[in-house]
Amino acid sequence: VILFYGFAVSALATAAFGAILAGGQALQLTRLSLPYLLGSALTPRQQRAAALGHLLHLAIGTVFSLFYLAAFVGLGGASVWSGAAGGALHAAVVLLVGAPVLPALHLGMASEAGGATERRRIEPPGPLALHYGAGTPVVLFAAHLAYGGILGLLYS
Amino acid sequence: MPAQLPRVTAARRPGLGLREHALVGDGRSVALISDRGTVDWLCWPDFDSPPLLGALRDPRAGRFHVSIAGATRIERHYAGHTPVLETRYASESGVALVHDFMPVELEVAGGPLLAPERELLRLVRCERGAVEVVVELAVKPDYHSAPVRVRHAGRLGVRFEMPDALLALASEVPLEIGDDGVVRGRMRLIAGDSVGTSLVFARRWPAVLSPLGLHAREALAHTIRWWTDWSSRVWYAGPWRDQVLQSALCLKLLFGSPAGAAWAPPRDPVAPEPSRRSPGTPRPGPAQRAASWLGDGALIARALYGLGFDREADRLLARLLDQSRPRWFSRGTGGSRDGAEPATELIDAMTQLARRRGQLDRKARRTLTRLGRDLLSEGASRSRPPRPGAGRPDTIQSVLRWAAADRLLLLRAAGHLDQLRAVDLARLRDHLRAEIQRDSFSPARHSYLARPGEDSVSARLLLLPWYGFDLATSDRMRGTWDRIQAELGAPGGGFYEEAATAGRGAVAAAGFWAAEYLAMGGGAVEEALGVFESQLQFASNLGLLGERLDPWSGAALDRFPFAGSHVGLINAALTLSRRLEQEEWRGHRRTFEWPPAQAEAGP
Repeated sequence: VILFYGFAVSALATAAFGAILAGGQALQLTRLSLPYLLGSALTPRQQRAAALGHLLHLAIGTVFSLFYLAAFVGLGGASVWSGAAGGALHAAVVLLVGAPVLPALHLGMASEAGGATERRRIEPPGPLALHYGAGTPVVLFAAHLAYGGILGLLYS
Repeated sequence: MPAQLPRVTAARRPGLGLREHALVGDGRSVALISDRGTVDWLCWPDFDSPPLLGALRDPRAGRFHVSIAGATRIERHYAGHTPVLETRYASESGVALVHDFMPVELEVAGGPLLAPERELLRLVRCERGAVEVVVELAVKPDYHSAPVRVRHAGRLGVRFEMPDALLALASEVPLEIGDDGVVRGRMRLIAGDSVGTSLVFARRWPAVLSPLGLHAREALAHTIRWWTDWSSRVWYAGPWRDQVLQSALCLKLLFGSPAGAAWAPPRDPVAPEPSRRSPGTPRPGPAQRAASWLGDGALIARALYGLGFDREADRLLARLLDQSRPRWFSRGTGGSRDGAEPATELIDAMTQLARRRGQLDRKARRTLTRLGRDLLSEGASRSRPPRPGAGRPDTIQSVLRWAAADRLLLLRAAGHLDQLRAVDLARLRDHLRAEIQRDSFSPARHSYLARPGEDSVSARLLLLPWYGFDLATSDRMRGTWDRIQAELGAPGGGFYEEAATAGRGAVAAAGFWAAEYLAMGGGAVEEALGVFESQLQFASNLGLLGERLDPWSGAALDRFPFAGSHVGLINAALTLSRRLEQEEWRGHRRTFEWPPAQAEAGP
């Protein structure tokens, strides 16, 4: 029951995260799509990348929720605020560290130094992921706040 | 009407050379490229998006130039029956070949590979001597009214960052950004060298960039192969195969999707489109836009059926059904335009489909039933005296309603539309026929009239036999044709639509209506051939036709290229080819008739 509850909580938080990113895309605030980026790292096929990307996104969301859970245990309890604070920290790491190193990790991503190649064709996120649109940091921040906040609320 | 091409007239932009533009596209968007190698018109992501490059209307509104320096001779043609443009530039020092195209997405067993949302590739190969390639790109979105930030991104090329999208230029030619925001590059090539330049667009996802080099050359080969396969499906093998194929290709570019995806209508097919409207000009409503697209779409579906593109025509009709409105006859299209045209074209196209397949699906039957009820309800109100001040419909509008009633009656008789009463449809059809023949025909002038009670003719009256309202061989139609020739004939063999609108230029499609009317029996086959051939000379050297033309100079006016003109060409070519076959068959029959008639009559 605990495992099932944990999985449901992480799935809900990941879904909220994905919904905020998709909303940002729909409002043309950002072109960032994590499922698209994750899936395209595994396959160059469009449809397969989309399907794989969503599954991978869910899996990664579940794994990250375990880190949040560990942090809540370490802090002696969970709350919306502590979850949101974790989300803010998470977003800062993604924007400041993850975005610059992503071209080195992503098998399909081009880089300013290496240019585009047959396999590496996806535009890199650039500093603060601003290549994907000026609203990207804000949307990503909001998505992480929601993700952490939901985890904090439901684990409390 | 169809795709979003700018309404420009020679009067507004003297010496513009609209007819000298080539069309390249992938079915989702198109670009117009001048004979100097400049993309003067490009709307991304859709036909009706605000132009990223709009120099065709405003020289400051962005352009994309790729050619060679000091070119003294330029030859252009399409690579076979494909929308891949080949331009050969010759200068005093050498010769270079440029390929301009929008690549078709590569597909593998698991579906299409990741590809840019939109892409234009321009490849230059030096064939002889040495040439200097010139690349220049100025992006001024929406007539330089939208902000854009230009930035060099190292080996990824130059980024044009807009609030809601990205345009990325990658080139093997070294590029620099000028103080004016224009990107420029020059590079010397010797025989055998080649360089590529790619412009990609991203709005929904992180951009997929083009690696150029071998990949670009493979994309060229794949695109040519894909379109060649597509063109080979045309069954038409008559004397005008090249022109018919070029027209089919033009329709496909303006309305299709090259990778076999659903045929998507341009969202905003009537003028003034948002892409070419001046600030403050109201947009046409969605219903009006949909109706305009539907009218054209049904015509195109029939042309595609005629050429053997059943799959594309089926998809197009499915989309037409999805977007139809049940009250077109009574309420119009939401603008000033009468709704009978899209409604009748849709009904007629569905009748053809029912004949071919022997059945209609539930959605089609429901849509046609609703349209039929609306037609009957509007017909009942038409039989009452008109309101004071209310205008009477044009003759062609009444004929369209007659044709709709006629086709619905055919479908009813075939058992497809059980919920419509045959007696009501027959009564309306007969009433309309009597009304048209009474009010829209002048016994004194011995011709049909453009509008009841008005002593004028319209070239559209030549479509009456096409809709089956009258025979092409009838005295009434012959009288109408004589009058149209005398009053609407333009220099060079073109035709004006009406005398009152002659100042706007001749209508390209009207000449093909005339040729088809003659081919249907309105005249001798030689006469039909003469009219048809004279219309072909109005096409550009790349086989493209505009909406209107200056009959003296042949210059294209208004929209260019124009799908309606190409539909006219295809229909006329098909009808004329059938007529030629009939004549040939009759000739053979006379030759082999036994015993010969002359022998019987001899001494």
